[in-house]
Amino acid sequence: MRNKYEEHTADGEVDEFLAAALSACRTKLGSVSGVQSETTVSSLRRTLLSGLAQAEDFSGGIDDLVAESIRPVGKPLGASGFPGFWDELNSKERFERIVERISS
Amino acid sequence: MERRTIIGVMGGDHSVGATASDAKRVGALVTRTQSILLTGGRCNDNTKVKDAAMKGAKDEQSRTGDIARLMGIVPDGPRDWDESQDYCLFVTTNLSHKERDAINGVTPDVLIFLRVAPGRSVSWRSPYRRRGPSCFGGPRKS
Repeated sequence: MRNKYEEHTADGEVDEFLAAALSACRTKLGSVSGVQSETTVSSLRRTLLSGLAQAEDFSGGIDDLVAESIRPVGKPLGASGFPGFWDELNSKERFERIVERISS
Repeated sequence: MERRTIIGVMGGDHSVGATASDAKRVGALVTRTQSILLTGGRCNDNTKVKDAAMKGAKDEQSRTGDIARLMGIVPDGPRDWDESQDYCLFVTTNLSHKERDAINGVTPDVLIFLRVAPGRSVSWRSPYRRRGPSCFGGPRKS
């Protein structure tokens, strides 16, 4: 992933992808965690780079990867990160209700 | 009632070969752990990571009786919320692929990326949503 970041930063694909996502967040989606009015493609790219820099190598296999993914974090899970649709009122709430139903 | 962990699996739109077995394995493990699997696909094709993961989850349900909990957030349109299958939701977003990807990037608690070529798979734990490492990589299990 680190190598891909370098490759696609150089060819502009990272910025192109982030620009499309940021545009969607501003015009077609509801509230997206971490995206504020001052968020830019550059700041998103810096966040991505920071995440990659802090990444920890993991030596296990796929079974271990999934097990680690669901490791309890010591607090109840709140709402999901689903942002909802800008053009569909209450779509966020609708999604969360379905998540609860599927969780039963 | 507390909701279950949502695990996203992404791998691009390429047809995968060996990676499909990894994706199916991840899907099966998500079913086994009784978490919710979120991808950008459906169960109707298993040549892409997103579909193979769902197929693996469903196959595990058939094999063990554990419930496969599936969410597919798919591009294009028109908008549709398909809840016709038990424990499943497929949302047709009426968005482009890249716009849809923004949803799939922020919705899950954890994202697992499976790359097409042999190498490293990566799991990303959203820094906005959970504590602990934000991401880590692991070698593909051959």
